[in-house]
This record gives sequence, C-alpha cells and structure tokens, in this order.
Amino acid sequence: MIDANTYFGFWPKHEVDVSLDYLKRIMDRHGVDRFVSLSLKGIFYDYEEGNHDTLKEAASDPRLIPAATVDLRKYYGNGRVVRQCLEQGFKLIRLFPNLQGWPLNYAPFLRFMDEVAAAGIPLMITLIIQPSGSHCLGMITDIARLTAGWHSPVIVSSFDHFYYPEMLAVMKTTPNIYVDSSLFNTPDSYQLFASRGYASRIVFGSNAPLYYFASASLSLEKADIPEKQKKMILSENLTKLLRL
Amino acid sequence: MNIKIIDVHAHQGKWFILTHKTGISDILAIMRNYEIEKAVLSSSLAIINDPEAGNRDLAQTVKNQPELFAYLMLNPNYMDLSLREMARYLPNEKFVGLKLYSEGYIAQPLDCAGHYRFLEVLCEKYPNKNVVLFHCWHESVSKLIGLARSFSGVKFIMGHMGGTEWQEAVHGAAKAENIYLEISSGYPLRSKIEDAVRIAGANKILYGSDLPLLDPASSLGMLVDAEISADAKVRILYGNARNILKLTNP
Repeated sequence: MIDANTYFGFWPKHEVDVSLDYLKRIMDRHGVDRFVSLSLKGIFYDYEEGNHDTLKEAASDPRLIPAATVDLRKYYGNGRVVRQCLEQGFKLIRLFPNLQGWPLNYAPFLRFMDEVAAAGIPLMITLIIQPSGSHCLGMITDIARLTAGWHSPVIVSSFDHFYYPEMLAVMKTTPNIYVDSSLFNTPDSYQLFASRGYASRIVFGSNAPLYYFASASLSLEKADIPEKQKKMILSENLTKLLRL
Repeated sequence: MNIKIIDVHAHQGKWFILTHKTGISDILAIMRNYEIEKAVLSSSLAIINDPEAGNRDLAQTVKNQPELFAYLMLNPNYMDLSLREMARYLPNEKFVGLKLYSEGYIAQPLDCAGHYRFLEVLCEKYPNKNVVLFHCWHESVSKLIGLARSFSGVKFIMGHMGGTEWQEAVHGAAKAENIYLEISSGYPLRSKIEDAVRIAGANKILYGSDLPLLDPASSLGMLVDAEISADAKVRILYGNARNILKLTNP
C-alpha cells in the first residue's frame, strides 16, 4: 500500500501530534509500505527550508517518498525552481492555494505552471485541508483548463462530494487529471469514479496524520469495486505516475 | 470494533449531492454492513424543502421498522404548521424528539424566535421527548450554547460536533450538562475525539454517521483510530445514546 497524501512537522491550527514519528507509527499500524510526504514547514513557514527537511528525512527512510512544495507568495519566477526540485530527487510537487490564500488566476501561479509543464514533473494541487464550511466550486475546472494538453499528471487532492460532478466532467475531457481519495467519505465515491472508467486515475491518500487514517481506509475497504481496482488505487496507479 | 452501535444522526431521502443509496432498503443494508443496531432518522425532504411531506414519509418509514426511529423536523418560518406537526407526531413512540436546522436551508438563525417557541412547547407538552438534534456549524455553536442555558430541561445534541467550531463545541459541552456532541464529519480531523473525551468526557459524546449523505466509514474510522479507552468507545457508540434516547422496540 502507498499513501499519496501525508504530512509531517507541526500543525498550528489545532493541537495535534503530526510529527514524523507519529506518522510512521500510523503507517506501520495500517500496513502502509510507502508514503508520499512533505514537511509542513514548507507550507506554513518557508518552502525551501521545508523541502530541505523533507529530503533529509527521505534520505534516512526509504519508505518516505519526498514531495516538494513551493509557496507561490514567495515565487519570483527565475525558471529554475521546478528543475531544481527534480534534480534534488523530489517525485512530486504539491501546491496549497486555499491554505495559503492565493487564487488560481494568480500571475505567479500561471508562470509557475509553465515551469511545471516544461519539466514534466507530477503535480498535486490540494483543495481542502482545514475545512471552512464554504466551497470553491470552479477551481477544478480552472486547473483542468490550465493543464489541458499536458503530458505530465496533475493530481487534485482533498476534495469531497460537493466536487464530484465537476471532477467527473474534467476527467472526461482532460486525461492527465488524477484524483486522490483522501476525502472520499463514502464507498459510493469509489464506485462512482470506477463506474465511469476512472479506477486507473485514483490514488489512495489519507491526509494522515492530520486526519484519522481509518476513515479513509474504511471507505475503500467497504467500496463495492473489484479487488483488482482496489490494488490499482492502493499502489499501482501511484507507482506508475511517480515512476517508483 | 465488535461493539453495538446506535446511530443518532441519519436521514431518509435525497440530497443535492452524491448519495445513490437513498431508499430505506439501502439504509437498512448500510446499517447491517456496519452492524448498526438502531438509527434515528430525520427527513431530508423536511429539512431542505417541505417539512409536512417529509415528516409524513418518515413516519410511514419508521412505523414498521423496529431498528429505525425518527426526529421531527420543524421549520420556524411556518409556526402554525410546526405546532400542528408537534401535536401529530410527538405522541408517536417512534419519534424521539426534534431535528432543527439553522441558516442555509431555512434562512433563520439557530436562536430565532421560532426555535424558542418550539422548545417552550416541547418542555411544556412533551417533556419525555426532550431531545433536540441541531445541525451546528460556525456561529450556530455559540448560539446553541446560549440556548442550552435557557432550556435546561432539553438535551441538545450538537450535530457534527460543531463542524468548523468543534473546539468551542467541546468546551461548551464540558460546561453545560445538557449539551452532547455528535461526531459525524466528512473531515475526520485527528485529535477531535481525544480532545472531546478529555475535555467534555466520554459520557457527552454520541456516535452519528449522517448517512446516507456520508457513510458510516468516515465517523467509525475516527473511532477506530482514536486513542481513547475501549470503555469510552462503548459509551460513544452505544451506551450514551441508549441512556439519552431511551429507544424501545415497540
């Protein structure tokens, strides 16, 4: 099993242990073989320092697949940031527009996307981590428009059932769009996406240790889809996407 | 977990977002799948649109299902109708109390005059049906804490544990004897359950799934992973609801 969506470090918005040690305990308890992760310092404080921490931890534990992040509020577009991430060994770049408060029509983001497209590194864009009770319908459509024609995959992560019609609509027209399942909060969700032929475009994610891992795993366990598709979702799809 | 389960927050009917499993046979199948012994439902039709039609459908549904019970949904924009609904359904042993909403669907704040009137009538005429499940997010949390002070004879169940304001909800439940926290959530943030047990106490927490809008997997997963005692899990999943709701098998 590979978890596509984890974090480690310090979570400032409520008291919770999200240390790397605790994340590893969760992964061990639930039989997760490898996990894509990044330091929360890179989201909240300084992305270069956070990326450095992520690489350091990945170097000492081969289970940790390093994801880089770039805070576009600090991005000045020298054209080398993404290339540098690739050279450092990152497998994926993650962006957090809602958590950092920048929109998808933000000029630094548009410029950054040119860099990502040129480098061909997989990208993950996260919609919701901290629930606000409001929704950002239309973001997925914007992501699809921006990345249409790309060869490299774009994974949209942490979206719930409010977004399913939008997600299914863009998956039909934009073959490089993939989804992470961390907020698939009903087994029906897997059935819905699989029934449209998209089982090969779902990667399992938990949002651990910020979210309870079992909420995500139980939804997939209870989903009425073939075991072969569950295996694809649990590891095979991500292995292909990240060329692990 | 091999623990008996009572689900205090479930629904009958459709929603405007994904729920394929809206029929009563679907609900019963989900309950069997997760070994949920009893569930208390409110009508989504009553919440979103037409309380009279929704409550009527729900009364028919629960009538012959020993594992299903009902909350009566009232809309404070329709006072006369609501008072008639109370008289019609609250004497029915399958109705355990009220489900009340605020903001969005009904465009009224939680502490609106209509809700005050419902609670006065409940205390005066139906004191044995004194359980009220309030959908609760954002500013509704502090309003419910205030309302609980005014109606000490009512047991308030704070739906979704206050949602975004779950920390305020937990402290509010710790201070008020008559506020209980229901845990259903599509955003299973870790530490919520542990904090609620530590601050408000395991006796103040109730299991709810919000099915079929959500699946029990989400909220059961929270309890599977929560680092609390086995005794606390038994209370949350079953014991507290049994004590508060006094469900029978007519």
